[in-house]
Amino acid sequence: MGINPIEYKPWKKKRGDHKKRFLSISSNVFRTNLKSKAVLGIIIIGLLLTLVIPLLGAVLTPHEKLTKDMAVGVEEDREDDLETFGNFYINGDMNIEGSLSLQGMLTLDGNVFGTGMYTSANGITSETGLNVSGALDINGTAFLDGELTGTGTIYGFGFIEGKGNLSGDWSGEATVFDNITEDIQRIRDDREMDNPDSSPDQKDGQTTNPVDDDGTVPPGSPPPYPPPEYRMNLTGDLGTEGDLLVDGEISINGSFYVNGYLSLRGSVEGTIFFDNHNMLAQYGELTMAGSVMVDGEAGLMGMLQGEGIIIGTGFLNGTGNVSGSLSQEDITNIISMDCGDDDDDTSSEDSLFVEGSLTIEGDVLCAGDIGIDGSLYIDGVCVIMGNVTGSGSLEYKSTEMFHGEVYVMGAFDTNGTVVVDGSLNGAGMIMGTGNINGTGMVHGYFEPDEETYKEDEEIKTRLLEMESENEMSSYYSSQTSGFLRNELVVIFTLLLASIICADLISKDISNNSFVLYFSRSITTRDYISGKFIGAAVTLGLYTFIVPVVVALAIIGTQTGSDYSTSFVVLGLTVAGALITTVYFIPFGLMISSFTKRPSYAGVGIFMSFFVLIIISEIFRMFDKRWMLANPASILDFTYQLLFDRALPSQITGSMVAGILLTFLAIPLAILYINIHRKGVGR
Amino acid sequence: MNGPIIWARDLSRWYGEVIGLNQFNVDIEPGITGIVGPNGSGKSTFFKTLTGLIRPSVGQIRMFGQDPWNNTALMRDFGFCPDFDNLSNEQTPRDFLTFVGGLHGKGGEELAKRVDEVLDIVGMGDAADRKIGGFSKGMRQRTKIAGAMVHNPKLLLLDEPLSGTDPLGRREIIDLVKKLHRQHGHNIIVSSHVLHEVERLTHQVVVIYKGRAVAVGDISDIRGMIDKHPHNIIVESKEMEELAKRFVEMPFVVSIQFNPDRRSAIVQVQQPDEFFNAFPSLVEELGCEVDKVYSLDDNLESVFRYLVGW
Repeated sequence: MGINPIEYKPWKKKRGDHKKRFLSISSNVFRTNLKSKAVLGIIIIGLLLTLVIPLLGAVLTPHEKLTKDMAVGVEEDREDDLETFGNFYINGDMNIEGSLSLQGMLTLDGNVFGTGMYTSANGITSETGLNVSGALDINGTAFLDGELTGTGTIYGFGFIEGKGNLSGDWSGEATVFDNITEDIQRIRDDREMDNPDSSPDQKDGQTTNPVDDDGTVPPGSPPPYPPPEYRMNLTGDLGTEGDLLVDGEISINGSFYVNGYLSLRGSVEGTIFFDNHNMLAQYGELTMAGSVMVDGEAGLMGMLQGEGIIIGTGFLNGTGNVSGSLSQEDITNIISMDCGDDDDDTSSEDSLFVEGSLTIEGDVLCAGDIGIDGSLYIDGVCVIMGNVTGSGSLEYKSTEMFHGEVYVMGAFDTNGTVVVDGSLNGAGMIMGTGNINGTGMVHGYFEPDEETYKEDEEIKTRLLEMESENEMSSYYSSQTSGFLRNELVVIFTLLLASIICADLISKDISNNSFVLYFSRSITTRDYISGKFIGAAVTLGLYTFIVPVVVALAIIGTQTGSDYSTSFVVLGLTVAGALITTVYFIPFGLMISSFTKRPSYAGVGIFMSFFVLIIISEIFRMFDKRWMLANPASILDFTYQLLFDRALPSQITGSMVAGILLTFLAIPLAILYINIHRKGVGR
Repeated sequence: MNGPIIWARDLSRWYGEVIGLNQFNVDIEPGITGIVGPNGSGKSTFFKTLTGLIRPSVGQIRMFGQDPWNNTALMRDFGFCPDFDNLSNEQTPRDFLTFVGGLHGKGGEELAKRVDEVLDIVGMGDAADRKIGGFSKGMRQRTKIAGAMVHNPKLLLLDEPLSGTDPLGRREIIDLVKKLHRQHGHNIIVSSHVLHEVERLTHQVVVIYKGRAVAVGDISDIRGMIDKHPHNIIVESKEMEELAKRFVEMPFVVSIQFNPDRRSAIVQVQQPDEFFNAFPSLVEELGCEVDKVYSLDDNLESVFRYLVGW
């Protein structure tokens, strides 16, 4: 054979660093993506839509430091509600952290624990008992053969029947009642047998017990009936939405809550809490043939009407719709109120004057003025069409932030202290020399009267102080999800990942580029690493920049000196941004390796996520753990874990970590196998 | 270097029920070696096996004494130019070569210098920064060859580098391959299904047919083997019968078969070279006009048939 001489001249230097081979693939992917108009367009649009506003907010809004709330939002109450229209049979215990609304029957052999609320239209049956730490709302009948214990509140339209006992802080002593309804009926029957002439006529639902014309009996008057044989002793609270007929004597050391028809033949000692949300007299009528001793609080939400005697150290006067609770037993005249004679008129133009102390747990609607010489505590929605004047203090304390509101259409004149933990809204004037303190928000147009009050500048200053006392400024408080958990960012990330990953593998399959790679010193691992890093760097132009730049802007414009906290949050933000960046890529590469058409791959990636989200949303109604099928939720939970936030009940950190790793590892494994199998036919 | 650079024994590769290589045996010495065979004969399978892209089903293969399967270290010693075109139209040759150099772990000035050098070697220096999308087939082939040699390998594997090129492009690539061996010292294995193209490149050939190496050695020896078999030559002329009478007098003519129009005939000859040498003087002597004369067997398929005895 004719063989020519070989003068092979290899490179003098050592051959290339094989550990860096994949970087060539990465840089090629990155450069190619940067030349793609679609990728660049989405990155630019995404940055404009999701970066500019948070950036402006960071720069323009005063803030002391970068907080976790700014990054991932205010911690939410994730105790989701459960609602079912069927029956529930539970052999074990039931723990309610959220609320449980049940249209069917709940048959329970175990206990009910938790802090949430249980609502039932049909009732509840328990053979072993209920332990209620939250609220138990019974609109059906609750058959209790077991013991009912707990510290929560029981209310509703139904009855409690059965052989079980009531015990606990809120109920009567365990041995007092076998059956409330039966007990009451037995008391009534016994009284009719003992003293048939003194029994009230119940045919028309009204009592015939003699009382004064004004419906009241002077304090200290004795009960019209002799002491009953039977007593209802309640050391805690008792509430019912149904009717309650009591012929005997009721002694209450807790609160007594009735929203149905209450007919009292005997005297009542202790605290009575009478509620009627319906505001119609026939449903919320209190007919008193006996005395009502008010030594504690008398909360009146409905119509107060009757012929009984109200005695005690408190004082009730009026026929209007008065709601609230009266306290301060040493005040002679707790409340002086004239809200008009119209029973249905809850927006009377008459005024409410508080000379003593008045605590209102429910809502207040007053078209007239409110004068405060004592203290006025409001815990619900308060709408005041008139003026607020007086020298007393007004404390407004909503149970949940921003749910309770005070609207002042007239002037808001306070010489005392106004405490706002909810929000104070309106178009009236704020005047006076008092302070406004609290953690809530003040909205509306409040014009100081300069002629009358020269210290309005001071008030303005105090208003600003109140805002600055808040943990977050108004801008950040409105951003409940935080800049890291911006849903729009997730959508753009998903869109970008779909476009970037679509042709990374599929294009190599379609034009046989695997030969280009694998006929050189490139391993499958190098190939995947190169593609992965190239895609991640491209995606990071958006996913990494948005949160990190906002975080840096917040730190750069912070007014406080606590930079250590800010940098910790910045570090967590960087970690969150990195997770976001790499999260979608393995799945995208896997889908891309299934086809040789980039368009199919792009649609496939996007639709796969979309379908997973839909499946998750459908099945989470049956089991909350289906939320783990939602890639966006996984990302969200990961942020929660990263920032040490609580996860929804039924979902644990290990579940999230497991699914997250699965979501990353399985696509990579499938991708690896696919490249071996489809790539060059190895 | 002592011994063959490529060594294969009983090499077989099956794709399901289709066989790509069938007990393929070969020793390839340094230099330029042509792998000749018709389409589907197993040339690309042989190259993929050589480059470690596929694993032999049976048998053994060695390149520089090493098994190429899953041997990334060995891949530094050869450069592969596949038969298909996977160049991006949006890239320039410089981009492509820089990327390929990066796949070999090269970078920086060293790579940039090497890229310029390689582009000059393949004659693409002037088009280094033009987009590949506007290139002719020949330019694309040269760019691919440049990609195979950017890391300066010992061995270049060129799979059908002349395929689809025009005559000018073909000549440029043939000259390039020769230059790569002569001036730059690369061993080269080049495949083609056109015998005379390979003949212009090298005398050292491996003839492959249906997955088997049917002839290995100098092309003149193979030619000799081919010449032992009768050749079919078509002759077209208005005086076909007169010509036929003289053909039968020639000792190397085996048979003459007239076509129905009797204006052309298939002449089967034992020594085609002598036939073609004698033919011009015969025509001149008879004073007849000859419309066409060509060998039916001047294609690889018939050569292979001869070689395998079919």
